[in-house]
Amino acid sequence: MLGDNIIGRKYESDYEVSYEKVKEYVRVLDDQNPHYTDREFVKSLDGGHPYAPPTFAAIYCQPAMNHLYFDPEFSKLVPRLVHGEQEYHFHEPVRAGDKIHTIAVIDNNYTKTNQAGKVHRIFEIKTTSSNQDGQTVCTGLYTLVIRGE
Amino acid sequence: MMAKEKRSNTIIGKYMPYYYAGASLDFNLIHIDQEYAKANGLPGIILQGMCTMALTAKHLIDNGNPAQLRSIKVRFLNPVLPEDELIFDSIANGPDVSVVVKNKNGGRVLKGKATLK
Repeated sequence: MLGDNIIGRKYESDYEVSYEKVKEYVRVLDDQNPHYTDREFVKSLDGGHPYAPPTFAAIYCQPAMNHLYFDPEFSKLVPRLVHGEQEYHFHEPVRAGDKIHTIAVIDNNYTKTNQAGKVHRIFEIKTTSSNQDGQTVCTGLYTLVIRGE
Repeated sequence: MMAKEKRSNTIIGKYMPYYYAGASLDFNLIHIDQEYAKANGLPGIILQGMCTMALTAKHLIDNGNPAQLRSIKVRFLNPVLPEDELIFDSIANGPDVSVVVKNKNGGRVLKGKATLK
């Protein structure tokens, strides 16, 4: 089956979290939580830099995921790709200035037939992201569905 | 322990898939190109699932410390289109939270579970 040969393939990327990018991200979501945007508030709270929202994981994992989407073996499936499920486990919080290294691994590939009889292809991608101190910040599981014709 | 229920709602802006694409670098054409989306069996451009998930996490965290969110797992049930209105409902039993997002124009678009400590 197309794609079977890419199980176990690994994609890596580095991402430096910037305060400006976090502000841009939360503006799109209209999220006014001061932990993300108010330097002075966070400094008075615990002396650290502003936090990134937990779901900013989607941003720092994206460069590794883009390596997958542009993999010649996988890119032909992308037009029929939808995101089926997503799971994140958060460990050390991510803050502005952190340097995040992400490894994405194609972990599983199977088919699923829906009620209309269409056969969907499912890919499970595991991500592990760690910060500049080697601490794990997030582990993720992306369930990507290639919709049947 | 009493279960704690919370509800909030959000209107998805007409251009939100474009803004989210810019912020996230998710430029999959199903989010930004109407013709491409329709040619690939969708009703039109759809919002990134990750954006719906981010809005769900925003609903859960509110203005609290983001470090309290320990995990989140969601299933995307139906596409979200620009200008849809989403209703977020969550029920917390201690640290365990279940959440459902409904579309005012239709059924459920997301269901999931989260842990908040």
